Amino acid sequence: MTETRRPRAVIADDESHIRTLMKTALTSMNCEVVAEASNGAEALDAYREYKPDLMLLDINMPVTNGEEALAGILAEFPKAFVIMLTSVSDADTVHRCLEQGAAFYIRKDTPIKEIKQLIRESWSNR
Amino acid sequence: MNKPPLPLADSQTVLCVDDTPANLDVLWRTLEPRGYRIQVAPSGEAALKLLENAPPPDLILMDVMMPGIDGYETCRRLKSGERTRDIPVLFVTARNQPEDIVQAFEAGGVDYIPKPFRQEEVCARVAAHIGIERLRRELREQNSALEELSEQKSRFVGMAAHDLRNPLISIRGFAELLLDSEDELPAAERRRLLQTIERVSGDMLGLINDMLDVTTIESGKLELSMASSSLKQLIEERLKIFENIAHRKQIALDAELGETGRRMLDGARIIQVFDNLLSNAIKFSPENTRIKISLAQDAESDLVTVADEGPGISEQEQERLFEAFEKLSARPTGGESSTGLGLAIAKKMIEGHGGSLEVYSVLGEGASFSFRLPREINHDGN
Ligand SMILES: Nc1ncnc2c1ncn2[C@@H]1O[C@H](COP(=O)(O)OP(=O)(O)O)[C@@H](O)[C@H]1O
Ligand SMILES: [Mg+2]
Repeated sequence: MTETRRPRAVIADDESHIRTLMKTALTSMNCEVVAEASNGAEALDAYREYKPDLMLLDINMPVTNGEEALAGILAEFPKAFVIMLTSVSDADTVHRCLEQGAAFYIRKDTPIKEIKQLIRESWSNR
Repeated sequence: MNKPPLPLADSQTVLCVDDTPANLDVLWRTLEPRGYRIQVAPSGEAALKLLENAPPPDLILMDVMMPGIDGYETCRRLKSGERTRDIPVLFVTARNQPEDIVQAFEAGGVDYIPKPFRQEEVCARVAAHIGIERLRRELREQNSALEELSEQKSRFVGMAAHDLRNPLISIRGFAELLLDSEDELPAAERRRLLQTIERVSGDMLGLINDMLDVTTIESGKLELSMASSSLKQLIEERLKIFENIAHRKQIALDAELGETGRRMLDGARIIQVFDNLLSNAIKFSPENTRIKISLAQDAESDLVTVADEGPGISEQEQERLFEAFEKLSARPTGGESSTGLGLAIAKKMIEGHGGSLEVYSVLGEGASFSFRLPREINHDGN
């Protein structure tokens, strides 16, 4: 990511180790992780508060899940750049999220190098 | 005629369908003295009507030639009805051409008794077919119980695999990051990644141990090693260990431990149960709250209670609380790990001691978990 300003990111996942992993990956590609959220409701709050340039949003989360959080975010911020984080079992939901307007999705078991590559590509095509 | 054998323990019902009263009478006199309960129907239609509502008999003896629908047709209709299809039908008839016999089996009959018959033969065949049907029923029941069990096992394996997957993804990811970053990552950051690997693999190990416990319990192989111990002392030791963890969340532990004396218990298992209750209380409570731990005794049993001021558990969720892999609305407040197995295991451990584990909670008003251990333990082995 070669912008003048470092892109600001928010990561939402209910498992803290996944957040740490994604945070390390994003930081190493010159993103600034400005906030973390551990459920859908917190994700929406964090988006409102930080208006990040990009968000990684897990689908399977408690309280409100990623799909509902995505709907909330896009209703208020139609241009939000949201990448869904998924497991294999989420296929149907992924499809609905993309139709709603998620930028992209990444399976969490993708090697980090590829994850970074995917984020870079979808970021430059946004 | 020989003396009839003793009536069957729980008497079996035989429905006799025949348009000739004299034939019904003979069947009645043959079977009734042997302890069968007899129902009669004078036609196929009457039999079908009777079976619409009445509890199904254990067996049907069916004449073939009757006015209205004949015995074969009656049998075919019975075989297509959900409630009646499993009742064995034996044809009793004077028609004895090979075609007749074939037709009887094609209609769904299980046997064919030519008239005139010997009473002993009718009795022997009736008893044999009732026996076969009973075995088939047992097999059907066992089969559906096994199907249910196998479905449960698949669910278990599925959830286990799912819960083991994400930690592995992290461990692999951190290793990849550490390998690729060479010296770019600051030492403090490297250290943090290594610490996360350590913590996540520790959690995985915990999950696997819990899964092994569940498997052992479910296969009925849980063995308790009972020894004389002091519950009070045991709890005091655990409290020392949890003091720090609670302190980090500004949670105060208030203990009120009565003297209950020594008793028989499996120390390691009771510790596991207590740890789970206390770690849950700490894990799901917000900061700046209190947890009350008490030990008391009544005439028959010792009672340990852990009561928190956390989010509490709704009535609906309380029903699923003790099932394996149930992670409910309350989520860890300090990033602790959660598998949903702890309470399922705890309940079995306590039940293994002949005791009970119960929850009292109103949503929003904290939760109180107690286990009761009877002082006299009759466990299965003795
Ligand atoms: N003291 C408590 N207060 C509120 N909820 C609780 C409490 N203890 C357990 N729970 C709920 O029950 C679920 C199952 O608990 P448990 O079987 O011990 O698994 P785990 O602690 O690994 O999540 C927890 O995930 C939590 O949602
Ligand atoms: Mg627990």
